[in-house]
Amino acid sequence: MTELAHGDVEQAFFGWSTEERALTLLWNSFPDPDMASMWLRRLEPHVRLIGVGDVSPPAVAWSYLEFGDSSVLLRRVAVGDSSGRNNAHALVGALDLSAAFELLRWKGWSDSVPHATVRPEPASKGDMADVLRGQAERIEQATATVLAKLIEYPERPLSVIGCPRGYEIAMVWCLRAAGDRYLREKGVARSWSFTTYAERHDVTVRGGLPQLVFLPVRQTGAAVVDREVVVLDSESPTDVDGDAGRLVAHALRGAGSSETPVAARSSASTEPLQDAVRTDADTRQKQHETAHPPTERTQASGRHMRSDTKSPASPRSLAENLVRAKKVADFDLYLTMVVEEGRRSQARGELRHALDLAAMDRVASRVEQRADLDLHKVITAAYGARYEDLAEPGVLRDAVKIIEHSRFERLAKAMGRAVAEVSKEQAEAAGYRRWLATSSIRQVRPLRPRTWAVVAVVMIALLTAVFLLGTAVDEPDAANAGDAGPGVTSLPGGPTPGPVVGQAELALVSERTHRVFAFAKAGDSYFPRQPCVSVDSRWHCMGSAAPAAEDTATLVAIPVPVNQVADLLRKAAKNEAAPRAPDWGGEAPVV
Amino acid sequence: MPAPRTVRCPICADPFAWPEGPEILIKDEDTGQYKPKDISPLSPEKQAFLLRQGYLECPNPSGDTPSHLLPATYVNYQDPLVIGLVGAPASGKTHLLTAMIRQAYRNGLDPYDISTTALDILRHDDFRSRYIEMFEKGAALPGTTVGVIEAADILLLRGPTGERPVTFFDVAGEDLASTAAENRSNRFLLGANAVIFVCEAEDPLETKRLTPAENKAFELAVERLRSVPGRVDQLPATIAVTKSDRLRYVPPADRWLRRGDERFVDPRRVQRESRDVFAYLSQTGAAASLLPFETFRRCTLHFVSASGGDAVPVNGQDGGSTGDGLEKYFPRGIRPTRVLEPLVAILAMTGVIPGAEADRVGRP
Repeated sequence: MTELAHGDVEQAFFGWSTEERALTLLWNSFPDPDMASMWLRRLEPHVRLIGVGDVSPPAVAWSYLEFGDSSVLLRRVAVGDSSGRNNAHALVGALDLSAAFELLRWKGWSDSVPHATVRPEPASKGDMADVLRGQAERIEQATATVLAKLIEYPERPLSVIGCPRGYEIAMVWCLRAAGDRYLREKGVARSWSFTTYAERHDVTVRGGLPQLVFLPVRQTGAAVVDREVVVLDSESPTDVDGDAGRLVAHALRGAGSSETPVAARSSASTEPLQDAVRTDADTRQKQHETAHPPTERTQASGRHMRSDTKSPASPRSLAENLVRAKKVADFDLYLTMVVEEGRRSQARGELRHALDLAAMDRVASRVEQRADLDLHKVITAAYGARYEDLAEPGVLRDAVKIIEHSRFERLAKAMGRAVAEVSKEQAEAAGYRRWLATSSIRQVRPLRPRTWAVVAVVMIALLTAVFLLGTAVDEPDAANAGDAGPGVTSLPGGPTPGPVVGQAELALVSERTHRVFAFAKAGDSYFPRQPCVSVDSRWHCMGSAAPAAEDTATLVAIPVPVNQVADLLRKAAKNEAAPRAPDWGGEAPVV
Repeated sequence: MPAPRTVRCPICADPFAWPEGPEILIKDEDTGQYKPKDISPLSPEKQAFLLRQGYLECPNPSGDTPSHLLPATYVNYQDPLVIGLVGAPASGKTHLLTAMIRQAYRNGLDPYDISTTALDILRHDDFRSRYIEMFEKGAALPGTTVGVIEAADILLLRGPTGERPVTFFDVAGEDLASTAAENRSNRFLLGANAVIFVCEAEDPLETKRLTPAENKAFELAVERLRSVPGRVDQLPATIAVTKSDRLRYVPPADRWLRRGDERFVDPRRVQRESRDVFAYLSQTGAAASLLPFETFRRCTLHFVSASGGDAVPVNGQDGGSTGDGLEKYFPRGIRPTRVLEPLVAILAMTGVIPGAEADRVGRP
């Protein structure tokens, strides 16, 4: 562990001041105001996090900047007042790059104004090097391409365009581990200052840019760029047998420098560092998602994804490329990018549009031999990390369609798990309809509606169990629980009376303002059940008809204002009655 | 052989003799680098075609500014007009400029017989994709990067008096409020021949907030402009009260906002609006924002609204866990109102819009 003497490192926190009406220093540990002013001036040009057109900035961006005897490790976060008026936390002092790497996972990084000085505690040196090496292995060829440019122009500043988001620091680590000694032997002591995200890199930026800058897209406009530029999806891949390829391979796997120990490949996380913004939402997302970094040949395969527009690729074209991917490496790359895009709620609509039933089937066909994790990633990319987009009736309808009609059981189950998060009964109903559509019963002779309903009521528990059994068996938690084997897996929904599935005919004024909700009606009491879903112009509803086992009730469908749905769901969970509100629509029986 | 024309570079503010050589710089789209090209062997038509997309590097005789380019045709027209936007951070400069240029492109200057096109094609393309397109999608625009010294856009206005390049500068409010003597970002003030001072409207009854006693960005800009002898007498200025949609129920702003865009130059109407804005700013304690009016001999004041409403966070108050967590948007879309009035006033005061009526604009 690198020792940082107390007082070696000062801290500064930047953000939008409502009093000063400026992006300024909100908190600092500098011993005197003059020093604080000096660092405000120095760091002011580096603290903003601004998107480029449609391309959003990352959630977290890191910069390592050098100012004479002092260095700065700066962490910019997409938290604050507004775009370009974000928060940023800086450590200032005698930090060499190794120390900076070790501080990347310091617990004291703050997204909001710190209340006290937390002493910087670097991670163990070996730990961080292992993490970075693990990540860098996934971008080996891209790193070699960049290193080749560095070797060609050892004293020039360099911009890298198209590095997979989240792998920039690993690339810097690898470039330095591979190239520093080599360049020194050639008489060049290169500075390794860097920023993982910049929206422009022209010469007119005050304060100067670090030596190594990562940009999401090429800079347009008329400003002069006086740097070497590597565009990873258009450069020819570097010959791995060349100097750069050998140096990178040596840094990753060979013996030699302290930065590249012979140690076996670490089992440490290869999760992208840059995404490590510490918000609760992100923590939850990370629980769902293990990053799947790109593999080698990044730039070769990436060539397909660049469109002529400023953005490297639209969410839709990324999804299309994912579906079309013929190589595992390409699939991995596009999967990573689709997952990244899926974090933006605005992009998910486009992703879902591209990932329709046929496309999802093709994706499912690619992952038959691979971990189901990949399917989970695609689904969360299209529907949100917590499947929050499924709250929209249209989106839920499409998801239900995939459950019902996918050619792949694996996909149907994965989607079933997602839908069950929002509505277990919709998942059950879709599972039932899937079974019905593929079973021999339907192929022998079509059932009349009354017969269909009877069969449904009798068989529903068994049939949904058949479907959900699969999802429960596939569910890691269920599999690990150990208290119930597959044969005794209980139906979601607990011990309430068995659900009724059926259809209702009613006209909904607008899906924007209203939802059709199923209720068990007992006398004048309405027990909310769950939202109905529209399939083929009919409302498919499901729910236990009786509030309690001994009661008699009927299942009805009623349009309700959308702002009441959350409350109805809460009541449904508690099996509580809801008073009929005057703004509910007319009811229709579920038959 | 005529003497080379002397121009003042809008970016570094240095005067220099425009080189008349056959070589221009053409951007290589593959590398992003500018490469010299000798156009003398080409036919006049091809020369003109390439010139329109070519650049020349400013020699920056003072040697105090990084390399910067100007369109190769920058001097082929009448004297360039350089308009700077000055205002505190988050006062709405970028939104106003974006709405203004967008409106000009939407034939908003047609009533004055003026058409708008890009003189610097690459620069305008960048401005369009970074700002205008985002604005049209209803997105709130990001805060401007601190330290940038480049012009935001360079347009060419064709009107009754000929063709005139118009360069717009929109730098970060933090730079304008910076007291650093060598801050290059506000160097454009040296070369500006018109300034739009931007202050945001606030209804004090609603915000329950005292208006600051000082407007540092205005004060520093005015002092920097004063440092050049004679500027105060010659330089036309306007004060644009942005975000006036907040005052849509507050007289007299409501009356002006309802009028929408004007169709002709009327100095009496401009004077009435200026009087109302003056009264509003005085009444709300924003006297510091009236400094340009007290300083410059020709100054007009306007109520404007670039977006028609305030922006709200895309991901709610808590923000998001990804890079779009800071993004805001205009939930009702954008409805620019009277955004061209400050520009029309400047065009009238600088002679781009000719006539006796136009000549009286901004005069006491």
